[in-house]
Order: sequence, then C-alpha cells, then structure tokens
Amino acid sequence: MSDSPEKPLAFLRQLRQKAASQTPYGGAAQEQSPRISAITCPNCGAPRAKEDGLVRCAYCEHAFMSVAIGDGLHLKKQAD
Amino acid sequence: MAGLFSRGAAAPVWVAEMEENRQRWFAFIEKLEARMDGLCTAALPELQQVLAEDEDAYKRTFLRMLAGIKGQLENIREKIREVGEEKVRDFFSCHIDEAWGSDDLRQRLYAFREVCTGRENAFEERHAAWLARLEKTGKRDLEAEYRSILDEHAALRDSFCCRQCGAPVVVDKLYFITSYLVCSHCRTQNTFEPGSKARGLEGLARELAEARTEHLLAASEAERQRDQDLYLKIHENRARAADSPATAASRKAQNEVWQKERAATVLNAHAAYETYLRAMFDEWNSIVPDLAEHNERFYQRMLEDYRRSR
Repeated sequence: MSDSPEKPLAFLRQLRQKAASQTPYGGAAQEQSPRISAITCPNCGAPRAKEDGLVRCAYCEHAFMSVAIGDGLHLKKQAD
Repeated sequence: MAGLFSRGAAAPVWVAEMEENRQRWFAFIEKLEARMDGLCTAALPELQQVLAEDEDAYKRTFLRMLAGIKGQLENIREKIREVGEEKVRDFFSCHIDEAWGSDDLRQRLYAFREVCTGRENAFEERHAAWLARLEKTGKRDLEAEYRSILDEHAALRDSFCCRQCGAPVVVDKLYFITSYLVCSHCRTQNTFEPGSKARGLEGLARELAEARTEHLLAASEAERQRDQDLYLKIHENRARAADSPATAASRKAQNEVWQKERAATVLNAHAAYETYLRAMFDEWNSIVPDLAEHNERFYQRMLEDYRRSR
C-alpha cells in the first residue's frame, strides 16, 4: 500500500472479494424453525411416557439409552 | 522540540545520530499514520456496505473483512514497535552508560526517549480510536434481536401438538435448548427443538445485559479516571521544585487533601464496579431465568476475582 488514495480502495476491493468467496467452516448457516417430535419405543411401539420413560420404555423396559441422566436445565435426574 | 539537540559542539558522534533518529522516527510514524488514516477512512463505508449486504446469519463475510483490516492495522503497529525497539529503546540503552558522566548528555538522551515514546503513544491512541470506530460498524441491535425472539415465541407458543395423541402442547416458556415437553393428555414426552433465533438467546443474553447496564460500568470507569487524574496531580506537585519553604508546605498540604480525595475515589470506584456487576447479572438472569443458578456461581467467582485483584 502506498499513500495514494486509490491504493486503500483497491486493497479493500480485493479484501472484500476474498471475504465473500471464502466458504465458512461448517458450511452455510442453516436457519431452523422450532419443531416438536416424539420418539416411540422401537421394541413395542409405545410412546415415551413422562414417568420413568426417558431412558427406558415404561411399558416393555427396552433401554433407549445407556447413559445415566444428570440434572439439566429442564431435566431432573432419573432414578436407575 | 526545536533546538533541543542543537548544542553539540564537543558532543560525541551518537548525539548527531540521536537527532537524526528522532527526525526519522517522527517522519516514519507520520507516514504510517497517514497510511492508517487512509485505509480506515476508506474502510468505514465499505464495511457498512458489506454488513448490509451480508446474508449470512452470523455475518461472517463482514467479520472476515473486518479481521483483514484489523490485521493490516496490526501490521502497521508492529512495524512501529519494531523500529521503536531498535532506534529508540535500544539506542537509549546503548548510550545511557556513556551519557552518565555528563548531566547535559544524560538529559538530552532522556528527552530523546521521552519525545519519541510520546509520539509512539500518540500513534497508539489514534490506532485504538480507529479500532473502536471499525468495531462499531458491526454493532448489533441487541434489543431488536431480543424483541424478535420474544415475538417468535409469542407467535408460536400455542401452535404445537403432541406427536402421539394430537392434543395441544403449550410451549410454556422461552426454551433455548432442546427440551422435553409433556403432553398433559397422554403424558408422552415430546421433544421440543427451538428455532435458530431462540437458540441464539443464550449467547445474546450477556451482551444485552452488559449493554443495558453500561452506564453503571461507565460510572465506575469515571471514578477510576478521577483517581488516575489525582495521582498525576500529586505526582506533578511532588516533582515541581519549591522556591520557598512556604510554597513547599502549601504543596504538601494540598497533596494531603488530594490523597484523602484519592482514597475516597478508590472506594467509590470499587463500590460502583460491584454495583455494576450485580446489576448486570440481575439483568442477565431476567433475560434467561433458567441460567440464574449457573450465573450466580459465575457472579460469585467474578466478584471474588475482582476483590482479590484490587
């Protein structure tokens, strides 16, 4: 860059082009709308029930997940 | 500074070199300052335009461009730092032993270092001011973003149905992470996934709380600045030679008054900062009440760190 007023402009144009052509890490941001879903037991087809239904099926005891659930923001720890 | 280095009849060779270094140092900084001014003046409208045209949700094109410009400014600053190291600070260290024998030479060497460092500091201030102006172009309207999240929630809270039995499921509050919602009819655990906007609430909350309480932080900074000003006044008063015992006594009395004022100002600054911290966290908790417990621990840690550091 020299002190000519055209130089910064040329540099900025080049920088702008480069910034626009770069692909962001992880790809373009995806706008997602809020949604609701429910999982049914793959073993017996029963829905996940509120009580005792988070980690295992309340009807047939099928284990949905093998991890122990801790307390979360909107989640209370479940007894094993 | 005219004539400061001009009385060197029997002066060593490095005195002429010192004067040359000073002149070249001033010219060098001036040239780089002009380059920085030119770049930033042209960059401001360009950045605003890029921000307006950036369709990315996180404005990453704008951020990349801003990072590129900041990198250029940092290069300029680095150049000045490198040359200053060699031509001012190293020069001073090399010749201070030689100058120690002569009051005149010593004073001239110290004056050289002072004016050169002063010029560098003036550049640093200008650099910081430009950086602040560049950063300001990307300032988000946090209140508008927050309002839009609230509006989205109000519009959609009653529009969901249980995936098992079809009964309405009310999204009772603003969820910003995936959460289980229980159907009040069939007790099925429905998984609610908030939209992209609501997911951003956790990241936005602190910035918004800080923006809402920035006047309190400014009040604390003002007290700090007042303390700094008093410190400098006391220091200058001490450094000035007194022409009579009466003047010396009067300055001493004045310094004692300022010292007391300083002590009160320091206490005010601490109290003002703690008030800001509490208000900021209260505001933060009011935006995301679910994080209040977690934030409270963070507040306690910040408060303890602050108290330990002061």
